[in-house]
Amino acid sequence: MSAPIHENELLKARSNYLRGTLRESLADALTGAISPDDTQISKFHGFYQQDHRDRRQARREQYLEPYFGFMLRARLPGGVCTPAQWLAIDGIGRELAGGSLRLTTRQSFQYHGILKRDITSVIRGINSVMIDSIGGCGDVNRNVLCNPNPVESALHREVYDWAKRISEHLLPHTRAYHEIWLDGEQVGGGEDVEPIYGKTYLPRKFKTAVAVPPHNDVDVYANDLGFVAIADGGRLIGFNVSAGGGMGATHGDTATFPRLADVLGFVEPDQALAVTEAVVTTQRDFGDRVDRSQARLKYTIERMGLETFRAEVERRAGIRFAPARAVRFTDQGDRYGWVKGQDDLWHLTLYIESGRLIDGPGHSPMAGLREIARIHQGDFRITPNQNLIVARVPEVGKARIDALAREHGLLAEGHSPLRLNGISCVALPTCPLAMAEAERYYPDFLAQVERLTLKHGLADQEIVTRITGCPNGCARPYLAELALVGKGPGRYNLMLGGDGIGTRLNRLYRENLDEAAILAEIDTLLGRYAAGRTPGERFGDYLIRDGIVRPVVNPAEDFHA
Amino acid sequence: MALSQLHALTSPVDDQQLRALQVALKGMSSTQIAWVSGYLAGIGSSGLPAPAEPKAVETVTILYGSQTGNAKAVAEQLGSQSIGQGIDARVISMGDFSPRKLTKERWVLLVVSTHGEGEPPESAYALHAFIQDQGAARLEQLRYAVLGLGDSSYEHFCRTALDFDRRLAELGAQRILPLQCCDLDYRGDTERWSTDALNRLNALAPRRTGNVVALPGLRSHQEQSQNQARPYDKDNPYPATLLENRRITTPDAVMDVRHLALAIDPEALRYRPGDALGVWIKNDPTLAEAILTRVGLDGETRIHLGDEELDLRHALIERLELTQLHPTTVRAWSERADAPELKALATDAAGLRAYAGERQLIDLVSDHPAPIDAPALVALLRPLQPRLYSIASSQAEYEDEVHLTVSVVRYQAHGRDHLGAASGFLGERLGRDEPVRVYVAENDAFRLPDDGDTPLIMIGAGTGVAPYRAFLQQRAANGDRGRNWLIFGNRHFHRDFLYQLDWQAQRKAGRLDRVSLAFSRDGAQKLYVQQRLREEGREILRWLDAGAHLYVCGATAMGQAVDRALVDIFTTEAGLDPDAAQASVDTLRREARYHRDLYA
Repeated sequence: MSAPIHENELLKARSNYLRGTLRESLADALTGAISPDDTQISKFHGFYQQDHRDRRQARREQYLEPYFGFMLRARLPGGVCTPAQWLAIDGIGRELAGGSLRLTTRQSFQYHGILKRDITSVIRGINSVMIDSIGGCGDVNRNVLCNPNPVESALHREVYDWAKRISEHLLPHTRAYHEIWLDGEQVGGGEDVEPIYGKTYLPRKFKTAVAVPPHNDVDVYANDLGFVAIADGGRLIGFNVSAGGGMGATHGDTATFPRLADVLGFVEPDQALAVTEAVVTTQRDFGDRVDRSQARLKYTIERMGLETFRAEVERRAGIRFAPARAVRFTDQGDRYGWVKGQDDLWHLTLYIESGRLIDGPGHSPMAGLREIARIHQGDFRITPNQNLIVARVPEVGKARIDALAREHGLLAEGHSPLRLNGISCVALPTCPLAMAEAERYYPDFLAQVERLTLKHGLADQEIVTRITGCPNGCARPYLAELALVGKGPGRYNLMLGGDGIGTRLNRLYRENLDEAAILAEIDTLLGRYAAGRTPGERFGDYLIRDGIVRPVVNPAEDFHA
Repeated sequence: MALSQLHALTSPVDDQQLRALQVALKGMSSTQIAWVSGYLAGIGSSGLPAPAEPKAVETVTILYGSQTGNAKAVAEQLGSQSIGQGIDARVISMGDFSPRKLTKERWVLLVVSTHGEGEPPESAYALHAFIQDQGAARLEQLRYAVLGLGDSSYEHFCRTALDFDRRLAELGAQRILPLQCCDLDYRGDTERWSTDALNRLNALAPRRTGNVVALPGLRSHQEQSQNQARPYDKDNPYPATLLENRRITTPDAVMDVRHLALAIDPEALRYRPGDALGVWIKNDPTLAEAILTRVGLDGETRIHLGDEELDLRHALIERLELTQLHPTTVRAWSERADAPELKALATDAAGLRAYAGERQLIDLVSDHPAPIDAPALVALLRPLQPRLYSIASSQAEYEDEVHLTVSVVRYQAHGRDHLGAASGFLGERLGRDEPVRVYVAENDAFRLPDDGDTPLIMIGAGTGVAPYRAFLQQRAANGDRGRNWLIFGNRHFHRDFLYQLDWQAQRKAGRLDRVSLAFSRDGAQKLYVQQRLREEGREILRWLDAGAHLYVCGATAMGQAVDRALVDIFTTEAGLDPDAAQASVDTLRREARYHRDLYA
């Protein structure tokens, strides 16, 4: 007798293609929350119910319910948007989302603290500039990442087009989103159909990324489905396809682990959509619908075996994978400052700490970007490292944009390489999964580590450093050279040994440390690194070479070993 | 033993007698029941009175219109006094008195209070409207006297009593005693007037001799207390202790609203949903000190208040009104202070009231210093009055507690910080070790319907939501199945949605069928309960058609706006012309289905 199917599966099945009782929940004025069932359905529409965790206790004592707010994440393939779109995004953030917005590690933007009564306005607002939030969260394909390579302009355009087509190909077909948020009316005639997903969608979230070597800023192997663009003479000739990557794990559950994607082989561009659909439907049919902690594609592949999985994908797609082409990655961070593209336009990568945009005394990143958007003629690209590129600036426009960026503190200049290579998730006080601080602690923590790098003469060394408030992996911590993964208030697991290019998982080095213990460990290790490194050797590589950290080879077997 | 537990098998009365007794006692207040018990005890010791001789008897009807229970208490005292003197009297609320019966009455004494902007108490509305009508019946057969209760700091002091007194005369009734208007410290005036009224009746009316009963326990308070435990009331408050004082609005809310729980002995203090708690407050000692400093007097100075001698400081803190500045105080002060501005006000009644309304004593004596001695200062000030708060709990749920919802009044004006006397006392100064003197102020105009199946529409803004918490607790305890609709307004959903978790729990338990909310500062446009009411007009009519009782609690202005909205609903949704719409609302009031508890 098999275990019962997961409650969420039943919920999806009876949701009438993701309608649930969202309308009723929105109309219920007694609470700022939506019904518990709808909190699952809402994810497919791009938003999560959260509450201000710092205020929970006080509000309970005031006989008030928690301060509910909603996090809404847009679908923005490859992170590209126009200045007009940016102005709309910014305006909504200021008016309806606590005066803030966040750039995400999946090249999108998200709002926090949206009140229930404002959700419709937010969705209509982004829709007015042709942006939606379908599948921002939920058990479907999420925002498709694409390297925002501004230098190889023609190649980027071609690759970006594929990212967009994949995103659109995997969009749910249900009319629920338009019905509930936009039209306000039920469209007559015929039941919804979901040709790819079916009534119960996927067993779990599904992430897709497209990389353009040598840059691995998208951390392509951290995705369920990855495409590595292969170019020949600046023209796209195909992709290496990988599958089964994923970051999430659960503390104390050795059946869960982060995993790098397996490379399935090479396909030509016009085979990309067929392969995409085949991977998705294979996961749809073979994924675990009983245990959500085992439902990601990475576990499906572990269970099926890579060869069986590959054969199933080939059968469904009607193609054969060619041998993968050789690729070389050199980095997983962003290239800050001005660079000139092949089309003679300029591109400025700005530094946005933790992707957090909020104005306050002495800092005005939102206002700065707004001013830039008012004069900018090109486009914006959100990077997978939570930064922003002001792309396609003609020579004559450089000076004004540079001046605005400088005035509003948006330039990378003056920040340490350590800081410029870090990312953090949002965590407390909004994320319900957070066990420890991340975004709020990140600046202080980095300052402490900066102090140590200075002490050991490593101030110029790039070290990919990431912090998450829980083990679910939004900031892709398991691919960092140095990562903190939240365990409890003020306590973290110290993870070490990534390679700085996103092709090697790190490993748990010390568990459940407080700040003093973390800094003591880092102090010691930086000291050894400074003394023992070979020229150009990265911190993560040194730790492996010196045997301080054992590399993770097969995470299913050895991540917890 | 409660009457409901009496049983023929375990008591000396038979079933039929028991039923008769239950019918007779139904709807009586605890004071009335206490009175009846004394009456019955009297009968027990002296034998049954002879049955009344019909025709030979005339009855004095004592009508009261009471909002806070004061007029009712005065009327009941008057009733027992008249019976004590052998005058057959019945004491009845104006709300329970059918206005047309006035044409049949020969002797009527009216005791009525005035509220807000000269409005009658809820229970007096129908009778007041009846006599004000242009075509009101002549009342030549009637002899009457009116006693008014009010607050002379309001413009329309005792307006309702004045209306009754004047209009009854216009309708041909004969006044047997001049109108007596009583201020907040009404005790002496009411006693004097009662004695005068009974003397007039004795002189004018035929005595009823057949069935007068000596009433032990009702002759006077002094004698009463020798015989039995005296019930707790305004003059004999109960010492409650603070159990809980918690802020129930967020720190960023404009209003600091507290939920207070006081511990009481359920044997000693009984209250019903709708009742208010009278609280004898103490003034802020620092305020008293500041006033002493300003006027240059020593707090230790001995002064006289009535028969009592005490410290000036003590008098200022516990006996005299310090925060609600009275126009006469300002006028008296203007004679002392060298302040042309004040002197100009002395002859300008409206200006005087406005000045007093915006200030406290401390502002007056600070801005216009003047020499004064202790007895003169005491003479300037009015006696401290208890403050009334709608009770937010049901004794069926919290037997030995009483809950209040108190908004702490705190503001900056005239260069000084001000704190409300009562809310400051309850919210800020009252500790757990010091008892607070309280009593139950019955509010029969704001009762749950007897029938638990009756739907309720409960409209409240701000702390006006308090009694509905009590209502729903009571309905839960009763197992009532009537539908409940809460219409609540405040400023911000996230900051001052008072008792949000309570309402959610009640809905989850199936006892809150509909909720309409108006948070005035959440949107671009201000939104108030009366607008919600209009939006829901059709549904309101449906509920009223189903027999719903409608309750309104909160500030007077809100109550008036809701009243207008109701009339509008009858015009727009029921298609009535304005007069008919008003008549429909009046009918609701007459049928005691439209209850209001409004305060300034």
